[in-house]
Amino acid sequence: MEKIVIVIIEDQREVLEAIARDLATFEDTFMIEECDSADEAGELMETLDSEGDYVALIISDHIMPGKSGVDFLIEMNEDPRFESTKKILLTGLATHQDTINAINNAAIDRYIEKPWNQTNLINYVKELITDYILKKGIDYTPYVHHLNQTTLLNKLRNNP
Amino acid sequence: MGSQSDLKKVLKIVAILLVPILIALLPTSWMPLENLTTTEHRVIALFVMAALFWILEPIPIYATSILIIVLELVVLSDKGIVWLKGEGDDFGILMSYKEIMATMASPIILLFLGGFFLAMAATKYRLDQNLARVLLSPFGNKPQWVMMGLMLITAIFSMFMSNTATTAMMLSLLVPVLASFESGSKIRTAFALSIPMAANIGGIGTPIGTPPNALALKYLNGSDYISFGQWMSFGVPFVLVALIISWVLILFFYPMKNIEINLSIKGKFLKTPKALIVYATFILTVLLWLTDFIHGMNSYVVAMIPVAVFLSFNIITKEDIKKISWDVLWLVSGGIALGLALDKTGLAAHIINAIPFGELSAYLVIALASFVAALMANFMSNTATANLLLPLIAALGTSMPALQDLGGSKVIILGVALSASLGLALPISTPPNALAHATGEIETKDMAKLGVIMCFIGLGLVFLLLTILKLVNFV
Amino acid sequence: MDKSWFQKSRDVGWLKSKYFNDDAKRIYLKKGEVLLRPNSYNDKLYLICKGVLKGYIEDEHGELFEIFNSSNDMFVGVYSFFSSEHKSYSTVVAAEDTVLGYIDHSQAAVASPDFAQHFLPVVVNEIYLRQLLAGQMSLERQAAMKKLAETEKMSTLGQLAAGIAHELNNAIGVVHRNTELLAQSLKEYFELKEPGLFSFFTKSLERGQRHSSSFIRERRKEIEQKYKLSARIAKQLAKANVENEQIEQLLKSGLHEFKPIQFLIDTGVSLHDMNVASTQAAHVVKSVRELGNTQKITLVETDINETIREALSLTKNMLLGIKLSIVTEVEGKLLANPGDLVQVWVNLIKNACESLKHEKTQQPEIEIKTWEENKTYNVCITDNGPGISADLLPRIFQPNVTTKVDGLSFGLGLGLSILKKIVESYQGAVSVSSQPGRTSFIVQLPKKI
Repeated sequence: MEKIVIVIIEDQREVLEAIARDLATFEDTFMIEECDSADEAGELMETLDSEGDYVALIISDHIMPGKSGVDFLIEMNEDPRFESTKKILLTGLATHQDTINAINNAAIDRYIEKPWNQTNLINYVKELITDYILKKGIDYTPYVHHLNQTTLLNKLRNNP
Repeated sequence: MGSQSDLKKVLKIVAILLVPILIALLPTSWMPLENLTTTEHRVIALFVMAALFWILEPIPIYATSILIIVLELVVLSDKGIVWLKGEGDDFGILMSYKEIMATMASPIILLFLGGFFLAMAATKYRLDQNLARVLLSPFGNKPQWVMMGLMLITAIFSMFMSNTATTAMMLSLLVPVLASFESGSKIRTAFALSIPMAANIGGIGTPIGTPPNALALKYLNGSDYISFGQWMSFGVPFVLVALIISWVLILFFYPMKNIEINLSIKGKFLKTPKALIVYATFILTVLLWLTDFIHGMNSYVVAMIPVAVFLSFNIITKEDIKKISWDVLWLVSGGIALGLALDKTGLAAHIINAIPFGELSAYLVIALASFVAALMANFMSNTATANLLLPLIAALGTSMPALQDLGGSKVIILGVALSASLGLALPISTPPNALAHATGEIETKDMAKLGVIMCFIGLGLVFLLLTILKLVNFV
Repeated sequence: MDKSWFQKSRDVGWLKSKYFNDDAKRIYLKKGEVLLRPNSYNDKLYLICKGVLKGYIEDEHGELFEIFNSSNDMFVGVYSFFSSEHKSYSTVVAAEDTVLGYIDHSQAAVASPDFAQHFLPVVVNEIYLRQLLAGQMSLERQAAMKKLAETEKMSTLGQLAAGIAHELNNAIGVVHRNTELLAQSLKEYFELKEPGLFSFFTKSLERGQRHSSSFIRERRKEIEQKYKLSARIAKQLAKANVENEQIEQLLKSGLHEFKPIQFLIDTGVSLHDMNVASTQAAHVVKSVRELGNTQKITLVETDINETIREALSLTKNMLLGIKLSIVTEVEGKLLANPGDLVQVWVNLIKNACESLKHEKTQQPEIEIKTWEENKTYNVCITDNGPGISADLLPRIFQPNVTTKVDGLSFGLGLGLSILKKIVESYQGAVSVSSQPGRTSFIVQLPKKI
């Protein structure tokens, strides 16, 4: 069966661990993949895609050695295969220009500043995954306990 | 400005409606046909309305189709408005409402639905793109051969997928590559022209390639029945010949310099269980279509198999079903309903009998009908063209003795159906043309020059094909 | 008009012979002797025959500022001689033994109408010189003001930074200390409670999560396939670095036994990460404090190799995927502030990593070598990255020069100019050599300071 995957990209190992730990609640239903560079994430995306998995969400840091998070997200945004994938930029160090770039060219769905708040992060993840599942036409019933009920009901009302 | 253009639109609709209403209100005896019944009279008005609406498009063409079906239900069916019903020979025959409604789920429609499911699953699991990648690789990077490869692939895909979807996919692969050439250079125009041309022509190859083909099947009943495989046995060679001619023409008009073109398509074949099911189902369906003489299931029955498979395995989801081009299906339904009305009320036979076709040469009739079909298709939707012409032509085929020697209604129906795919000249002729024109690489005159020439060559090929079919006693 | 007087009067020699030829009118000054004081009466015009006189004015605090410096054949006392008050405005002191000739108002020549004419050029020259001096002084003053403002700004910023750093230092100290305390208490607790699984805690507390995410992914897939476990469990086992044999044992005894192991590992890794993060934060804070505070606080006996190890642990994360070889030939100890040295190494390692990763060097390597030579410790950090461009190389230790593309990353990116300052504060030196595939920074620190 295809998995629904959340990809986290963060070069700082401790921070990566911390994000993953904060999202561990999702792990019983969704697959959480951790990457310490955008390049690694790029390869992972290829693998996931070829296995037919759904990459529902990418949570990326911005400033990392190698490819920056915004550049990576722009790449993903321009790839028709990951057109519906939701994107969160989670960063403490993004310039004004980076942010503009992220919004205009990477079409990020959320911008979260470090340090983040776990409750907010979980809520955003829920909302975005709900959105993704409905948009993709995946049967939402097995995931319903991890979905944002308001988003779910609103979307279903408009598009049952 | 908005209100003014709205007003214009309303006026246009009213003006267009005026004609059929006027025809409907005239006393039946004024009609230039003897012994016309009331229902036949109503069908004439309806046909005129359909023709005007489809040609001038005051409302979307699929809306016109639904309008036809509803009007038939209201004024021409046994469950229509009670005051509009009558008795006796003068009044004529009312149609069964069930029959009219059944046009929306006619076997033709379901054949197309099956085709949509196949195409959708192929696109979703990137079979199309991956096939394109594999098929294109032997063509190297000399531009003329790459173009040949692209045209072949486009034609093959458009035999099973909608011409529009195929064009969109191929252009999306091509446009970024073209950007590397000097703007306005001939190579860009040539490549942008080749795709819609191949897609339009490719549609001729199978019954599900384009709606006119399927509509033609509708009128080929009983002894005239053509199986999927039979259609392909003449359709595919026709496509190949037309394709090669258009390729030569494009190269003649836009000679390629010694350059290289590198079309790199990313990706690899998906190997997930679902993807494998899609591949297998695709192959199985096509095989079943081609081997009906062994298993006895006709094309329509086979078409339902992929629908069931894809839905069972959740390959086509609820969300995907919503994306099916219902407009295309309903456009065809309207045409079938119109044909039904012409046939059931007896109007078609009545008109054909009234016109002294018998004195005309059968060759001339076929040539004229095909030419009219091609001409109309250049200015309006190919499907609408077939919707309007095929019912009349079908009646003509059965009632014209001279035609029998040439193969009867089969030959003229095929002639018109194939010609309806020769709308190649203008951006408005077909959606693939419109898409290619929208890339900005092509000017209308480029398209018209090639399109008009190809249209006449195409007509010539249609006549050649019909002659050969006659020679091998197919028709 | 007779023009000759004009030309003659511009010739000091002529004036000298005409007016200052009286040997009786000579003054001999010893070095440091004062000729004139402000507001003292002066009706003499002096010509320096030999020696140097300096003029000073005094500000309200009694501080002296030099305003002129006159030597042979120059006139002194022009203003007081020609003015009506005959008062000197400055202090004039002999800068060395000086011989002066003078004239005064008692002389008959002074009364003659020619006198004023003959001395007009001298007066004009005097005015010109003063004008020039005033202009120069005003320019200097402006430049000085500007510099002062700049310095003040920087020092304010420095003070501000030091203030913030001080506050943060206290906070981070509490976090750091308590993390250690917590780790220690838990260690003792687990030792009592879970003696069998205790090592999982201590191991993860020491090492943290040392595998790269791609390694864990691969290991996860391996476990998934080999033992037919769910991705979730497999990932936890991979992260916990559980060996195959241990997995087999777990599978026999039931996977629920993995739960406490995982808990111990998670706790250990968390504490390790907190420790690393607070250590790093403390270092950052410390280096900021030291920026605002140039004197060395305490110098202790420091092991160079230890500081290198510390730097490596701080940069562990960047070093993932880079082959590291360390050759330590010395047991080098010197008096230093260990934080300074760590900061130097971190900077150099970080630069090397960034250069390797930014250019995606194939098979990236970093080599750290220490050796002793002529009572000097040498530390050489070499990477096989693309190198530093030739135009940048000579300027690399200047302030405001950066090879970085984009902002700072987590760490101590203080730049090479500060690094150089730190090394020089130990009377050391830092040098660089670079060519594609081999860039070396060598830090030399004298053994005794």
